[in-house]
Amino acid sequence: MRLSTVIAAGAAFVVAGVAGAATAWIGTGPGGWVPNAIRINAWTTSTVIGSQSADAWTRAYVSRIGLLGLPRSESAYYSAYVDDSGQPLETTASYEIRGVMPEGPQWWSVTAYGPDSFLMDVPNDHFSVSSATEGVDDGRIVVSAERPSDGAPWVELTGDQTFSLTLRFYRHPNWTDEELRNLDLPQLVRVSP
Amino acid sequence: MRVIVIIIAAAVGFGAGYFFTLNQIPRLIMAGTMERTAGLAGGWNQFIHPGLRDETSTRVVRPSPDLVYSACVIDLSDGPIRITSPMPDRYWSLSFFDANTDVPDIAQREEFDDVAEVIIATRAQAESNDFDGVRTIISPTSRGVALTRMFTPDRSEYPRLRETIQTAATCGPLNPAP
Repeated sequence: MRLSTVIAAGAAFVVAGVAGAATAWIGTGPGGWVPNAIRINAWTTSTVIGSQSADAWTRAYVSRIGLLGLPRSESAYYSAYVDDSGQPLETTASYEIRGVMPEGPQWWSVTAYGPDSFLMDVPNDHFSVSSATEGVDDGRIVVSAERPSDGAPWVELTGDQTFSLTLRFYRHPNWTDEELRNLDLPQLVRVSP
Repeated sequence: MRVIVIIIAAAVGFGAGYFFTLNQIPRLIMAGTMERTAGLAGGWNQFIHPGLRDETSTRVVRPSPDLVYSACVIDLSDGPIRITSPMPDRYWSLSFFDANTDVPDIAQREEFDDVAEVIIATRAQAESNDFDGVRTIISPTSRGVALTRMFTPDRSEYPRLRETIQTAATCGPLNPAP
């Protein structure tokens, strides 16, 4: 084999290696593809988060978007980056989470995160709504920058950016994979503009 | 021939870069988190109580504002670690994350009465010690993070919970050096 071929092959190996590393990094970032993923309306999760059976993709993905997340035996996390119509969530819009949460968990919460996966600097510290929040039994949670005038449970937004929501169920009644795939999760509807 | 060799080299390089990075991401992120947390706690095998989560909480992604966390970065090189904590009147759990981000075990509030006592040990340490029936978590790796979570939907409760639960919790060697 010619020396020039060896050099070219080596260069191709290195360049492609860097491209492969970049692909792995980008692919495991927010919104990345997750094997064993479950999708219910706008909400997605994986049955293997945090467990020793987690595959390399899921483990890498979770370490970037949910480090120190608990396995299914303790909690179930569902995240939404889009609404029920498939449109990206935007802080300049208003949304409603419609429907009651599944029964069984010791407690649940829904929290909004900025595009960097951290809590946003919202003026009123209404980062989340939980099962302990007054009014949640009515089955309507408002997700918006403006405080709802009717006193509905409120997840506060701020700025002009995309965001995501995470729905947490803690100490659920040992939901199986099949039950996780078929939970009756609430709708996530854009109401304005 | 030359083109085929280059294409094969590129394909192998892409696969190697992809899978190497994929497998290193959790370990590197966890290692960085452990080092930073141990630095903030003043060392390994010591609790740190980072307080309520808000927009300034940027060390671990997607923190829950409804949970109060305490973290103890564990190093089992010199022996098992013992954790104790008073039990609150609400959801509480102690989860252990190994160096690869896996969770081998979780101790739950319902397992304890007034005070939780948990020993974290490697399998070899557990096989060569009698822990007198104390709740034990076996770690597949010599380092990891023990993380307690406590449900705190009313943020005004935090000062009381910090004083009565968090600051009374302990994390340290099971057999301290004389």
